[in-house]
Amino acid sequence: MTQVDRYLESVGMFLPEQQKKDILSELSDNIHSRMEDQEALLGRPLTDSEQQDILKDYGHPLSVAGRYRPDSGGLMFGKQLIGPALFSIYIRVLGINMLIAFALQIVLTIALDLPLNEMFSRLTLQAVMQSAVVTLVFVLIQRTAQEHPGRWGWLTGHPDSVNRTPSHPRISPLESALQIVLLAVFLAISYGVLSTPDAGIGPFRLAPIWFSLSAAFLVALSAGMIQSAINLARPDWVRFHAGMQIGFELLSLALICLLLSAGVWVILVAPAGAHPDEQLKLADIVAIINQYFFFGLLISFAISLFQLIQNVRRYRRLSRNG
Amino acid sequence: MSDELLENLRLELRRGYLVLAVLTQLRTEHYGYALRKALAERGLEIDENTLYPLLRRLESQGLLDSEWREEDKRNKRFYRVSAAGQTIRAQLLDEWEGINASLRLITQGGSEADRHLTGVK
Repeated sequence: MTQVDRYLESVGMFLPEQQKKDILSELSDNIHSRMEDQEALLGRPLTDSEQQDILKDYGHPLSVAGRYRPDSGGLMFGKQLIGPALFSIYIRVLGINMLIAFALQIVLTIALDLPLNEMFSRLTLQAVMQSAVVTLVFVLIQRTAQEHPGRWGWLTGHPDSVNRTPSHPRISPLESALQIVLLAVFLAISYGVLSTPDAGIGPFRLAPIWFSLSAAFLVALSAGMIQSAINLARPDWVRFHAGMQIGFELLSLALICLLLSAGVWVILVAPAGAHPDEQLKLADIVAIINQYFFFGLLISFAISLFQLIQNVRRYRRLSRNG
Repeated sequence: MSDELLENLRLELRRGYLVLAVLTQLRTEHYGYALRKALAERGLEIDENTLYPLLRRLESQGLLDSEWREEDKRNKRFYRVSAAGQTIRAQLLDEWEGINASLRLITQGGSEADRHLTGVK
């Protein structure tokens, strides 16, 4: 696959499906014609870096695709924040995100038997939070594309530059964007559950330890989001990423240890007037759930420890390489 | 700030006559890159990301016809002004000449221009 193929593949990701093939064929011919023209002028084949300069001159795939879909809308606030190429994807992601968040909120309200009059304010909060996070992510992607027209490899997962070497690693903006969206959903769910003191399903309730640690959970998730947002703007801050990951893993390990020390993670609130046999059966179920939690926490501890070691090694390697 | 303002106004001005230039140049058949070169040789540099989408838009509006054909061992899309495009081009050219004449009179200034303007009215 040549550089031009990879470039065209990136442009194609943002083109309307029914016109994609046609536009890409034409664009491919125009790019090759320009390259041939340049080769005729120089009397030799173009080097990879000269080819790259031509592609850079064409512009970032996001901007190029945007020119072919001027009627696709965009987000403006004084200047264009999200261009037409990204806008349709933005609307789709926002819609899916909102749908999941609303569905979870409704399920939580029903499962936890929360007052219905609070549901509207919770849904509004979700709508504001999800819109803000998703919009921020897309604005940052658009800005990165505008500021760095020669960096588009992250769109296809292939290197965009022949000059880029593994000694200059970068955090994929797509990874950072995904992380922000996922952490926002987790944060919303955690906030929803942990701000409800009697959270639980049926006769089962979360043990008090979860609520004692709620602030730490929210801080950890928020810190993760901030780190991802910073790395979205500065994908070259790999050492910062590794450092923050170490902090995140340490905090996770501490939280897991505290949770493990509690010994009980789900408690039983037997319904009033329940038959002793039924209470016994429910107590058995709680014991089984707690066993699952215990093993789940042990596995999480092992995974966090492994990731911590990996990140410490990565951090040290990056520090050595300057 | 003034450079940026000038650039914006210049782009706005160019946008108006770009269509006319393309319709006129496409009296003879060209593919995208060749058209860009032909216009550049006549002093009109157009950004590729402006020209190529413009060609597709003009075609969708029925002002251009296009045809895929093999040339130099590659498939190229050749554009030519359509019958409707020729009519529009003639009307736009008249309009452009009218605007040019008016602008000349306005920029001449003084009583002579005023006399002309009154005459035009």
